[in-house]
Amino acid sequence: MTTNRTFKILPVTVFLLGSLVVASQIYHQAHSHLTPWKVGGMGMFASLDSPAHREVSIELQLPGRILFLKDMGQSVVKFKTIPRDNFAEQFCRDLLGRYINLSEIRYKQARLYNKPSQLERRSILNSMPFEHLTLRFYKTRVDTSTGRFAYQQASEYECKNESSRDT
Amino acid sequence: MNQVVIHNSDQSHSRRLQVLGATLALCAFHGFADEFFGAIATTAIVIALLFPSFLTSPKFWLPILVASIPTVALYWYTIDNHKYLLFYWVIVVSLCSLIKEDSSFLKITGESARLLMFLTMAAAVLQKTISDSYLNSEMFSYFLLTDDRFFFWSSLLSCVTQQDLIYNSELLKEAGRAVGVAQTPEFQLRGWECIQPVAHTFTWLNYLDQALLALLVAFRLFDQSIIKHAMIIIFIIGTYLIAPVYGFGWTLCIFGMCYTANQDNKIFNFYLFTLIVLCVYEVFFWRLS
Repeated sequence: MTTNRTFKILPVTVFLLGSLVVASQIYHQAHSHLTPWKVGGMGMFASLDSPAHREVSIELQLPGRILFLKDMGQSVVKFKTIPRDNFAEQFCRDLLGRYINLSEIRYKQARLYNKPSQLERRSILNSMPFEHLTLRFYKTRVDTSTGRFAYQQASEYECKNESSRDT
Repeated sequence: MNQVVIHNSDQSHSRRLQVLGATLALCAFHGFADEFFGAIATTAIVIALLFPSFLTSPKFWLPILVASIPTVALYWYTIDNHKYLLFYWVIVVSLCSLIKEDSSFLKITGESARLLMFLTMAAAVLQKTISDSYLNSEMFSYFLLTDDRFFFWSSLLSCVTQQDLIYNSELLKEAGRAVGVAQTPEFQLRGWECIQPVAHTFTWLNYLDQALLALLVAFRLFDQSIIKHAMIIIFIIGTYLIAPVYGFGWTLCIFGMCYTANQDNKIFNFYLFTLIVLCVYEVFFWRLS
């Protein structure tokens, strides 16, 4: 019984593929704040820095007031996993196409909707004259001697709204 | 002599079917959380039950491989590490389904399983070594006090109380709500001092165990030794008893089965039995509780 040469190199080929993914993951951890828990690096439970222990704040600065927007979409998940500039841009584009009801604000926080509504007044974000739309990304930091923890800002990204620049 | 050959051939075929069956079950019950892939895997299970001979056919496995590719491509940022491992394994099994001889199939899948097991352990050890929160026990201290999967063990093995753990869970939610709205305040976890001995023990046991397994698998040391495979099985059961990532446990069991499939001993059956134990544990401890 002989095994075809193609099959003989399969184990090493798949191993090299996996190794490449691990190496790439470690590179992006160092350069793009990629969480060790995802993207095939085998870093689950190797670090405190999991997506569940990261936070994102979306700050909308309108004339005279600041609002914090709550979003549970896939863009947030992607941005939390790897807060690179290109994903932040994607996140901004996604946010600018969402809707907000300004009369529904609680404790400076407003919810984002995917669609307009016939029952209540919702405005699309990219039509609003906001001054700044800022994404801030936070990681958990722990004081190992006392057990005190806090979310510490790790990066910030300013969204650009081409349509509001003209207003 | 002929009787021995026939017996081995039967055994090889039987083990091939068990490896394929376990892989199919893994795809269907702990596969990618994507509806398209789920539909393909479920359909495949029905076909395998109605037409068992299809299980060894490439026409059966190549659609599963094709269905997994867009899933991984679309959700690369959110799928867990063991799903990447599943993806590599689906590549191996699908391509190996083109091999007609059972012993050759088991040889190639066995070598693939060994290398993937080594990759998993070695990469995990590397990640833990370069992490700024693992070797100082920060990770385990934090998780033992805030992740409810660990609460049973935290309160059993240390002086931390259930009330402290519930308080910590609520504190985490409060901390999340305060992000951005207020200046980032600091919060104090309860039970930090109490949990340190347990956290240090878990940290080093896990680290050294994975490093040892990586070495044993990499250099094929003591391949026929029951003790080596018992260590791997204890790792699977021990780790997944505490942090139940079932898909990962199943995957390691399948790797173990393939690693020992061409050996003329009973170690293959121990991995098969462990897979069944994980299923029973999952059903009775987690899903029914």
